[in-house]
Amino acid sequence: MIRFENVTKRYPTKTGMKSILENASFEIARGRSLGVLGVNGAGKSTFLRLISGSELPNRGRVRRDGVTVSWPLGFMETFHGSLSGRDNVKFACRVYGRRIDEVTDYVRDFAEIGAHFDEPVKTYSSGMRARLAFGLSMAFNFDVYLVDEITAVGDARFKAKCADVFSEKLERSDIVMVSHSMGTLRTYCSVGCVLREGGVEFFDTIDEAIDLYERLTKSVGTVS
Amino acid sequence: MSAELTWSELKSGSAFQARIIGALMLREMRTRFGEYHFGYVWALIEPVVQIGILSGMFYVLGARPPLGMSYEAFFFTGYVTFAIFRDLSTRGSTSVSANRALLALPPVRNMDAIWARLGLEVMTSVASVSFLIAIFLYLEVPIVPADPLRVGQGFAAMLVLGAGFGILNAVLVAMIKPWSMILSWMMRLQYIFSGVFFLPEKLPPVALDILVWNPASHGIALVREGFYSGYKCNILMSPYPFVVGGALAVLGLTLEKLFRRRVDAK
Repeated sequence: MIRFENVTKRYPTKTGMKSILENASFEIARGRSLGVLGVNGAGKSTFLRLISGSELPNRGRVRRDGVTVSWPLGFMETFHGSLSGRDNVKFACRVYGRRIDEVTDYVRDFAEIGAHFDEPVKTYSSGMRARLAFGLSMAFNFDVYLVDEITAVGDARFKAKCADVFSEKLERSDIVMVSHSMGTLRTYCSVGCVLREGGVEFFDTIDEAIDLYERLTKSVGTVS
Repeated sequence: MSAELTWSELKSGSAFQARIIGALMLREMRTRFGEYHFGYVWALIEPVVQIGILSGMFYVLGARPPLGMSYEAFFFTGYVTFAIFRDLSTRGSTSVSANRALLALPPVRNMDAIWARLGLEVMTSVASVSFLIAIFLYLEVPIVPADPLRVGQGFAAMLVLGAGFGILNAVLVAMIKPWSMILSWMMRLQYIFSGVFFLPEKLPPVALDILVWNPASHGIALVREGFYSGYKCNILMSPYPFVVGGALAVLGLTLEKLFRRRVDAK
């Protein structure tokens, strides 16, 4: 169970403070995957970072009571450029207290980047980075995977492999996902929520959430 | 929150944090010393080379050291002491900004990166001072101090001062970019004015009135008092560098806590 207790989160923008959550309390239940919706700038990525703990609320707290949560997969860069892929993987193992040899072998085999594995990450192409990042997150068994607009990488075979591993994970893990693709959300998520005006509205089905979101985007006039 | 925190949670929490700091230290070693391990060697011989060059220059000029008979010893007490402070302050300053990507992993906190880098820097300082002492003993340069305890106190003062300033700098550099430039100028002035090359009490009173407030001078003075028998530095206030170092640390930690979200790389 992930629980938000009286959480307020604001961030500064050029036009003043933008509020994402105002004194919000709610729970994200285990066992169902959640699609997160909201118009541009509603704070979907920040919402994921609050869940992960990589960003702190201005007020209140986020409890994860024993639930292991991934870092947000996707946009966020968690690799140190001067270190090799291998050393970055080792670092993550140490941070999460996982066995270095097992995880390293898994990620090396999964990412299929050959000898680049021992080169500094800053020499990687964005595709290679994404492969490494995806492999690393799949090597750890998190209870909840946070996915921020994940984009498929590699050729058709590699994409199929990613999809396979990911569905396998989802038999035991939940997912909280931000995506602009309604199709992707419908595929992976059973429940949904919409971020707006400092609050979160939860829905028992992803379709209801998408309905509200589509009404919102029409009234605001943005296509996103 | 604190009411709910049990002892076992606290213990597992510290073990958890220690693990992360350990991971960061290993990562720091990789980039601090480079891929080919020459960095380790350089960290050890750099002070030897510095002292060699400085002493050589002053011997050529034909002057006598302000204290004792050997410039090697004078610069050992000055340069090495100063370097402890300088290295902690400047290396500490980039600990958050240089680890942005790694700090994106949720369990890793800003303070972990700061503690890891300071820890590694303390270990490096201890190793390089020990190496220097070994070299001097081998070359039979007289460097046995009159009062080793007081020398140790001086080194400790510089550790506290450098760590405190390092914490503050790490937070400031992450918050305000130009701070690293200001810092590098401050360190250049410090190098000239903290008494690596001279004894502060020999300065004209006008200069002394200002420089007496420089905490680094007091660390060097402590080491020299311990090193040279019979030397008394009349401006020395031995608790001063400790107090300033502690105050800088408290200021840095407070700023980090207050502006954590802004300092956050995440």
